[in-house]
Amino acid sequence: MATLRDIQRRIQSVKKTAQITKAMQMVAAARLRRLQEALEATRPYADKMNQVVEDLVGQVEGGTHPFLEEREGPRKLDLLVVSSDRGLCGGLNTNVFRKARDFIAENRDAYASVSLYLIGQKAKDFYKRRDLPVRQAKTHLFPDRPQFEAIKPIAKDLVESFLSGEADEVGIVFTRFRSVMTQQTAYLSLLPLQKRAAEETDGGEPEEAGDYIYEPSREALLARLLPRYVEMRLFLIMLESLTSEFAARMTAMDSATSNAKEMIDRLTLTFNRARQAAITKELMDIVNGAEALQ
Amino acid sequence: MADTFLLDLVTPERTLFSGAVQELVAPGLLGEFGVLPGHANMLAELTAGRLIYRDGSGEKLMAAAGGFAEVTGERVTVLLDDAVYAEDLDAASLGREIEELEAAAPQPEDEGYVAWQERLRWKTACKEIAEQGR
Repeated sequence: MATLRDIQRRIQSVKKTAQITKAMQMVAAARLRRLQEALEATRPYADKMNQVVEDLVGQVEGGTHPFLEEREGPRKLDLLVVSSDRGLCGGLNTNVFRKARDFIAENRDAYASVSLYLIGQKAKDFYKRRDLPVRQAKTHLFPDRPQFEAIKPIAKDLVESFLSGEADEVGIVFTRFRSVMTQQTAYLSLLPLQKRAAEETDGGEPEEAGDYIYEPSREALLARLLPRYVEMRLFLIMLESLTSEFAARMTAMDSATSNAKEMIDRLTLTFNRARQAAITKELMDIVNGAEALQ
Repeated sequence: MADTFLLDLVTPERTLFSGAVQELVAPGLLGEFGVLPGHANMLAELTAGRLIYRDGSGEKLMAAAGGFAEVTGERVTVLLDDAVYAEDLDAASLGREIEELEAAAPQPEDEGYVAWQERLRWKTACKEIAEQGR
């Protein structure tokens, strides 16, 4: 049986833990709010660019741009795994790693080889002891706030590897931000770019390409726009992952705080019981002593 | 015909403007161009330079980094890498930044040369607009 002092010590320590988790929850909530704003601010650009790219890609014939080239046979996959730099964010990173593993296992036949491109300290640590080729690992991508500039070198690496034939496909495993309560691990194919708009118009009337003025030429525009488009998609993915991280951390810290509170309640009860038991025991001793004297 | 059209000015990090305007002047790669209501459909690449739009409250001048503009019917979408309103620019500090950039000029065969060139062009455009805006 623990002594009173032991229980009290434990209560104090759990209280301190609760204070820390509460503080972390509040910090995560504040950053989450800012990130959500950033995400909302980026969405219009992303939507507009999607629209412009779809308009443009829909009007050019297949194979005009290397980004649109679908390669045959067993392909080499570059898999970008987006994790967080810090822990204490629930199952977020575990889910990302599991998704990556499942994806590789399910598509074993489709790919000749898979090499990894890791984002975040956690992914770097996780794959250190695993038997998969890691091409690159980047940590602390956005030190203070999400900046578009920071993803440019990554986009460049991925695009170069795709264009040189080192990779025939570039995919990403990341965490999609649905809401503060729900984040979803997802796989997305980055390259080659999917030609949705073009395929849709295949069956029906081909769109009249002549009613647009292009400045400079259509091909030159495509060559400039598509790399931008890849960067933008990457940026949005990083932003979504980061937002998810803070949402997950906030939720995790919230439940940690309430768990700690519950534990304090239980310990307080135990403490009171132990104290009562001690008093009763002392009382019995006194009564027994008094009776023995009679 | 309507005397205004809808303009969306967006950068990856924020939406700068979204609303009805009467006129837009944008820095096209092949030269500055103006858009009035009823302009033909167009897709153009933009370079660093000045961008002006006129809405109900008057003319707005801003420095725009490169990007793209799509003109369709009654709507114009301008996707910019970066953009700053002229009144938020400070010529003196931009002058210093340009000097620093010029001092750190890489060799043309270096990897960062194109990025450096773009950055210098952008800062120079900003400075010109800051001086012009006053």
